[in-house]
Amino acid sequence: MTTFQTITILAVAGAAAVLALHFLVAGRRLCREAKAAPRRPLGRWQRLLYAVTILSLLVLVFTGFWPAVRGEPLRGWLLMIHNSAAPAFAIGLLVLAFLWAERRPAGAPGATASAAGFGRGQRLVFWAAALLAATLVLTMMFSMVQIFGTPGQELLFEIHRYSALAMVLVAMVHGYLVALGRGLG
Amino acid sequence: MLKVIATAALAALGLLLSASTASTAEEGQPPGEPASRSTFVHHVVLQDTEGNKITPSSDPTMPFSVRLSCGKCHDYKTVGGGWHFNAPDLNVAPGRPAQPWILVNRRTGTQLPVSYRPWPGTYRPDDVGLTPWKFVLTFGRHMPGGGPGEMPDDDPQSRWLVSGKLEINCLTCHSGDPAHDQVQWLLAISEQNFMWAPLATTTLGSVRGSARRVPDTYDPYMEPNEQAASKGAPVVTYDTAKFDAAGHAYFNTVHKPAPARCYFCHTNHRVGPGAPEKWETDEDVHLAAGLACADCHRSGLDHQITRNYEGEAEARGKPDLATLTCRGCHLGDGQEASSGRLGAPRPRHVGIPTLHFEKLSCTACHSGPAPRDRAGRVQTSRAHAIEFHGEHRGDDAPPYIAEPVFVKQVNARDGHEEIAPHRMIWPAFWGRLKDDAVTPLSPDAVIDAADKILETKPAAEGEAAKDITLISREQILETLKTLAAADTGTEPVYVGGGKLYRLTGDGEIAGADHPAARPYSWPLAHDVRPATQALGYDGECTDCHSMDAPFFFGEVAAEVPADLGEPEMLAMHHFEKLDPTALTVWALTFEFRPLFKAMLFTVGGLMAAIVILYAFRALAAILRWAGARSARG
Repeated sequence: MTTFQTITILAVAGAAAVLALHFLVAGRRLCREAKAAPRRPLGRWQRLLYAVTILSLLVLVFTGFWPAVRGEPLRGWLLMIHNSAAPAFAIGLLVLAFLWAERRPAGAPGATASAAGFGRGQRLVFWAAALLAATLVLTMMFSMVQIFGTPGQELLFEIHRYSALAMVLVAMVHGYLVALGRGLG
Repeated sequence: MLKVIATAALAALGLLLSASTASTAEEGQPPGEPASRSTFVHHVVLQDTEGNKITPSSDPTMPFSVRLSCGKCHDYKTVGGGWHFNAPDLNVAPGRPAQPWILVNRRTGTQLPVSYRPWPGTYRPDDVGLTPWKFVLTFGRHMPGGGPGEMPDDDPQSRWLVSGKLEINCLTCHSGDPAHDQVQWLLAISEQNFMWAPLATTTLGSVRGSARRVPDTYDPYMEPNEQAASKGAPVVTYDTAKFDAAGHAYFNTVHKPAPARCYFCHTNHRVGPGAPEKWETDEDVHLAAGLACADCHRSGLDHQITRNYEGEAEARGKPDLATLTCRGCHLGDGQEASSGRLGAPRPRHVGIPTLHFEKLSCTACHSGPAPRDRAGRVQTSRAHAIEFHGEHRGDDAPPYIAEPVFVKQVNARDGHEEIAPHRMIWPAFWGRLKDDAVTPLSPDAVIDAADKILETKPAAEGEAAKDITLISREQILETLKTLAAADTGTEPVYVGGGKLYRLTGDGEIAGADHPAARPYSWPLAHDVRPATQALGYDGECTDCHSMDAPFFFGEVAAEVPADLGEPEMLAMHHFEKLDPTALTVWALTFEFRPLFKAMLFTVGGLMAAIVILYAFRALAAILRWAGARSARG
């Protein structure tokens, strides 16, 4: 088993354990607080955009990590599906970044009264996702141009896959917060 | 006291003498090679195969024996275990499949890969009646001697006593004499002048006459020159000027063979439509850079010449050999200090995803002729005897070898699969089928049974002999009927063009797939092209990733020397074991690759810009907060 396989399995299992523990300790309280907090659901187009982004992320995670966990290179149909889902995810997240970058937690200085609330946890998740998405996209783009030789290509690939792993962890936290009712609206 | 000293002195002298005696006892062994890199000048006392010293005036004048003349200093047995000579030794690991000998017989439409080494897809010489005697007569022209040339042989047709053994000829590779004439070796083999062959290639003397013309009872050691000449038997005349006063003959030898010596047996020549003429082709880039074949393909006295494929180091238990592979020399291959041997440049492979280095051998992009829409034909020294003029030459001369064919192979280093360029031959031969296994028949046996049917048609006016030698479907049908008449409990078959042909119930023939009909292929490594001519150089992904890229979609014809209709055409991806639909779709994506890059660079750039912008804003907020705190004291 490669280092990356080991780290992936440990990281995902560890994150799941931490979230489960967190739920056991503070889950009920957070759910109660979330229900009491004012909510403003996302609009139809934002919901659609969000759904496309999440769906493409799931496709990317499956196509990227299925062979990685099995110790195989990403190639063939999986690679093509991976490459096809990447633009949808990148563009979706970019548009969401444009829409949500200025969102603040309700009551925070500068928060728009009419805008949907954006909890601190989700805000952290959002910026982490934005940073990782930029890294994921640019590492692959730079590997496709005539700049980096083999050591550079290897570095870009390592950054890409560890960023992808970090993105999976961020997505897990995001999903957990949504499940707690600490969603985006 | 004096007595004690005297005793001690005597004892010491005794010890010295005994050591000296021991060293003298070891003098029976050859002294080995000098360590110096300087050229050792070879003034040699020549001996014939019976150990008699040769003088130019002796009568009968015998040819020199390499085994005894060179073996005085270079242990012949050790040399004889080398790669060029050890094929018949069943204890020698076969290593990665390589070019086999190819038994060709136009009348019977035969082109059959044979080898003493158990490479899958080849047949042992004795499977088709090639005794060591017949093997040497057939292929000795491009053998350096030894191996089958010195094997025990119970073939009643053999004439070893007349021809002598075909000893290893060191000069085949190590002659530095520009007048060394290896073509004379071929002539000597064809005349059964085996023991005269080494001498015939040199300027030390000349050989006239032929062992083929004298009866089986002829004894070359007993016939004086004049009598031998009168019988047409081989007669040797030495050039007395080549012997010094002490009777030593001078050999112009080199330790490291020049490429021209290797080329005699290892030249590849492209033929057929679109093939360049010799003057239009370039040599391997390593030779162009001034290296010699032996700079990479090395050996010690054991002549275990390195083949330099990945996995050879592991197979031979010599880790250092890994430094002589492409990766070892150019990349270090885990031994960084070894990279750059002989000035090998370290490639950057700019813009090439690393997956390519797992899925492709180095040679896939760098070696052999660039792939074309249809794999071309190549003639090789050993298969076509291209060193010689004659009827066997011409673009249509069998055997038909295709190159480059990109085949998925197992990398012997770690067992992973990779695509590598190969040369490929489709077997064509007659055989007998039993329990779904095909036993080949020797061409002679087929001719014996169907001589009339396989009679060569006379050439029409203006028709070259080479154009009329393909056996027809009708001839195959009639020959199968004839062979079937001899009830042997087996079914006669003809294998060719990727199919196994057999008689059907209605008196026709039908071809079907069969393992015996599958092609034999072997990896090609040379000629290596310059880096700028490598596939994918300078971002040319579409060299391979396009809808009609020969690398994946080029075709290979299943050509054999038989007229079976249009040969079956198989695409490269068939041999690469890749899904053509996936390859097509993947190639299609490269049509949009520039757009894809532009779009995602924009997206990634904007995303990065947003993150950086807010990072600065966050930094500004921190500074404001820190400033406010500081103002409050």
